[in-house]
Amino acid sequence: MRKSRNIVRTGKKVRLGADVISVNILAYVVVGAFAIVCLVPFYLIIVASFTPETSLIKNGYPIFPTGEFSLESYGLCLKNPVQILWAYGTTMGVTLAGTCLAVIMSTMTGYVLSRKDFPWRNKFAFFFFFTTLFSGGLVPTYMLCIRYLHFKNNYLALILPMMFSVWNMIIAKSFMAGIPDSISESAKMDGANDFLIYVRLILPLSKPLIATLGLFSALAYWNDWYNSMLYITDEEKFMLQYYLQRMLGSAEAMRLVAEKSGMPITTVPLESMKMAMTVIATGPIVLLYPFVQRYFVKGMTIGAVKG
Amino acid sequence: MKKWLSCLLAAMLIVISFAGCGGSADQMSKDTDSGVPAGGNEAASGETTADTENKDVLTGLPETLMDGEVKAAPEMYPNVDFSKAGTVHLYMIGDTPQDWDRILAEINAYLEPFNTTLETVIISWADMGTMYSLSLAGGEEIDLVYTAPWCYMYTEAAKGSFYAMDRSFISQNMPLTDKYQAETSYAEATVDGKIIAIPSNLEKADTKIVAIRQDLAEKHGIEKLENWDDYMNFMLTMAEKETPESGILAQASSGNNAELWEVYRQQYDMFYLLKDNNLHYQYQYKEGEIPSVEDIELCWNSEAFLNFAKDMKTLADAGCWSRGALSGTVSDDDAFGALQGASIAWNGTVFNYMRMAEKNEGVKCMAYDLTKDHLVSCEEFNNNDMAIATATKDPYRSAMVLDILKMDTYVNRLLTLGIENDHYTINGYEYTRGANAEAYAPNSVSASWGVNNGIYEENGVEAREKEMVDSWEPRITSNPTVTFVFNDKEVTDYASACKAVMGDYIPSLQLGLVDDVEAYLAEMNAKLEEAGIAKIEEELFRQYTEWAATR
Amino acid sequence: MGRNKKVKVAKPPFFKVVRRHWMLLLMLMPAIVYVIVFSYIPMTGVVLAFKKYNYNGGIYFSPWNGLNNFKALMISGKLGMVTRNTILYNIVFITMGVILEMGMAILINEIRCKVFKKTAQSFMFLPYFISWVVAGAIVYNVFNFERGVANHIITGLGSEPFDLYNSPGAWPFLLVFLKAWKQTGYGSVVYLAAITSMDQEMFEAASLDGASAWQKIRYLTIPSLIPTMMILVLLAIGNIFRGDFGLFYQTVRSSALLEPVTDVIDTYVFRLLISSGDVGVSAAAGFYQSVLCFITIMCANGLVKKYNPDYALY
Repeated sequence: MRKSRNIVRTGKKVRLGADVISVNILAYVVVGAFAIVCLVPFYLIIVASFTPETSLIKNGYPIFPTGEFSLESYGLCLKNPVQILWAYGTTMGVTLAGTCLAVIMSTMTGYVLSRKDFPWRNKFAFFFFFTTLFSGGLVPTYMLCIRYLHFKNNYLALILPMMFSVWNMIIAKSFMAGIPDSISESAKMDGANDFLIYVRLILPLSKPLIATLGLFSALAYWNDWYNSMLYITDEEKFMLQYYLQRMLGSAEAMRLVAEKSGMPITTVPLESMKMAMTVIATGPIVLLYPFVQRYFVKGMTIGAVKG
Repeated sequence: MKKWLSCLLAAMLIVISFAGCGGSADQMSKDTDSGVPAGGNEAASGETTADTENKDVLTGLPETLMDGEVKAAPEMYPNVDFSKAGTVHLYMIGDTPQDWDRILAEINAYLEPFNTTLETVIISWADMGTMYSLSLAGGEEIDLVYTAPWCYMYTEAAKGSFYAMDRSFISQNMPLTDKYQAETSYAEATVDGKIIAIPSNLEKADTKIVAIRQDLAEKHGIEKLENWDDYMNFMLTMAEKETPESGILAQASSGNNAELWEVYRQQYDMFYLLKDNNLHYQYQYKEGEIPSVEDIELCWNSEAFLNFAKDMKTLADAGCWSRGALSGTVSDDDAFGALQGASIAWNGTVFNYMRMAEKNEGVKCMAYDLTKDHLVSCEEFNNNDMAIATATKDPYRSAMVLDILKMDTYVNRLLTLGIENDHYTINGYEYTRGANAEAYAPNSVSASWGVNNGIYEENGVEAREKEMVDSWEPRITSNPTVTFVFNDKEVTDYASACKAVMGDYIPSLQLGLVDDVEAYLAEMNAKLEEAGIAKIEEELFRQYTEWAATR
Repeated sequence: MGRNKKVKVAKPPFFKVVRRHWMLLLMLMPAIVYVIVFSYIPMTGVVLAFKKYNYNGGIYFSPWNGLNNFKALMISGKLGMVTRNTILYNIVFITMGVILEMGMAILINEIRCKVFKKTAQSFMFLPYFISWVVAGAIVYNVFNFERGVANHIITGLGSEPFDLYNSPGAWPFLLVFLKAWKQTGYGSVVYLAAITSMDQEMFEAASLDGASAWQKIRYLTIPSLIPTMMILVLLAIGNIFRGDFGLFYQTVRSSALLEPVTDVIDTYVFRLLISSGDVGVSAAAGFYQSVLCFITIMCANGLVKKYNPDYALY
């Protein structure tokens, strides 16, 4: 596949028509412009995170770095470096393990449901999809997880609740439905069973899918703070986003409560802290993922071929 | 297809019935749980001998908390089975102080003769909204819990999450509280004739004042503020002269002007009958008399609020605060501390922000009481409470631990002030922050508010702050209706709808960001009418009349 | 539906299917168990919508409350308005989403410079990490009446300053823009995956036949993205009665003036319950949304199925 693509490319280079140039100009301009629209707020955030709180409140968010430079908000976010490192570690571990499991779950299920010779595929698809429509709310889930699954302070509590996403599964299903049936059928003739077909043939053909689902799952795990809030009280097991969220939320809620209860409070640089938090939590995954992605996909598909 | 569907249905049924069984098992266990107090009460009333013994044990105790050291002893708690070890789980809210483990270890060492261990879970401020009710409902081990009207006290009480007590339960199981707790405080936490929580034993002045940038005031020829007119003058001067010059707003309001409204209200000597998320009913104070139903009005329909809203419109139109103030993200207090605003209104906390602003060179702040000739209301006892959770397996032991936390001098000090000579030093009833106060500041965990007896005073308070607080002392007046608690269970839905309407309209009015105050108020009243305010008032007045009849 | 039924009648009965496809069923097992434990069992909690919750009864044994919880939602008479807002916003979000995400994916695919492509894509993910709280703070600061950047520019051009928080008309545009800003980079990834897995020989053949770059996009790329688009649209329709709480709450806050154009079901319920915290009413609100979503998706999926069964969700 890759080869044929290259041929097309070199072919194009030889006769670069007006149409190709116009498409390219449009592509560069639009994609570039949109990338800038996405980047500007983040730039504002970074600048604001280094601006002293008083200046932020007084002058609003600066467009250009002001003369004043402050590391106060980072100092507060990182006041406990060991904990931050722990949190990074937990987050990375959970993200990695969770992403692998999530990709396996959604592709395997998606593959079964994409098999046109499987008569119950639509019913099962509905069975899964139905869960996205109705939910019993937080209390029953919480009771189940605390009482019967013993999730309190258990790493499983961070991984399991997000392990299977129906949304991802349906994307996998629709992607795999696009793989020609002839591939599965010929393998079946050779006596391979369904699992082996999935592992040896379908997964290696689904690299773009794995990359996409991997990205989605990784982002979801990385950004998850909710499950930490529900199930984790042990500070060593906090995820990064929760750790930061809690610090900020505490400061904010404390102010609200102080207003209602009249209790004296200490003051915290809320505004710049919000910004610093975003930078601390975003930096690593945005910088790392493009590089890790290739290895991740490779790992998943190589594992598949060997397995 | 049919077969398949029936299979699925069967599976679902099985699943549901399993869930149902689980539920019914819980139900059973809960029934037996709630059976305990009923049977227990009987048992307790049978144990009259234990009761008299109980009284003997108490004879050696000081008359009041200020008369000497109070020490709890196992003999005071006849209903607790000391032969078995027990654990009491205390849930509270807040940040975990650095030295919390040390405090807890000390408390547990003290509780050893009682054969009891205290375990705590501290729900972070950030998670309070979700985790508080979830912890009570989610089937965890939870015995004691901090609560307050702003911390879902009445909501949870309506659900039955708190163990309902009566006065005799307290006298039998919490002898020290029985002895020292202010008798009037119980009524504030009584719902449907049951005491749902034990309020803190602390009543203090709750007056709203304003703090201003004195340096800016003097720059524009204003010496001091005496009353509301001076304040208006100050605000308009700031907006006219200071804002164009330096960009400092007269007040960097954000979200609403609720505190300023409280300042304004004080001029009218009005007290609240009900204060619940904008559902505020007030009446004119008349020398301790209980008001008649006709004198009770919705705050927002009062003459006072109309005048206030008009004043606010004057200020807003003059540019005293941002036109986007409604959606502001920085609180006015922070803005004041960061020299963005020239004034704030709040309670004694303004001094913190004044100090913050004064860290900048040349900045001088001053706090003013604009209602010097008027009453000062008290903060209610029930602003901080401790409750026993319905989920508790041993209400007597939980009550005992609460009793000790509240009244035992040693444990109470541990919780509210920390470890002596480390976190604080004490001289009589005046304490000074110690070298290690950073690791455990006085009153830093929510439970320490809930067990506060208000007998310790901090040394080294700034003179201007002390002067202000002292000036309130002679004017403090108790709200004669403070023990009236409105139970809105019959009209909850209407109350929610009305509060939502007021939440939409009141902030705009308080910030003067409306074209026509009267028309906007009328619009709100029309919406309230639709949302069923009449039903709420009917119920409120009915309950109030009933309550007043018992006085 | 009818066409499928015929096929099914011809299919072998239950046990034959199990025997033939036991491996596929086994592969489904983890997901089935997962969904039963984490979705179907807790789903029984929907009964709360019809109950008056109390601690002793818990979820399943609290007294029945008839339709009172639903009535509570309707007291203020705003339910119709917020439902309308929710659905209108979602229709716009879905349409904008399809156009922008698909367009962006196609254009990204045309870019040959690897470094530019990767960098641009990374940048597009940044908004996903900016929480609505922070986004709301940025909007507030940029459009602040007195000191916001936007008004500096506007007044610099000699116009009157613009008061965003007093201009209800501007909010729908702003909210759609914010949603697109946050969602496009993330959403375009699915389309990109679909494009990269397309049969390249097709394009080659088209080039040899003299098709222009525009023609290839118009007649090859877009049609082959239709299945992906249909699935994504159907998934979105399944949530059409649910509003993005963070977007609508954190950027707008409470304001009676803006409410008619910015209030959606989720924010309305949040404000309604902020003081009472009634779990029954919040369950009723969830149930109301679920039922409406269910009806909508059944109709939409049925229609799609009639037209082309391959595009349907189930």
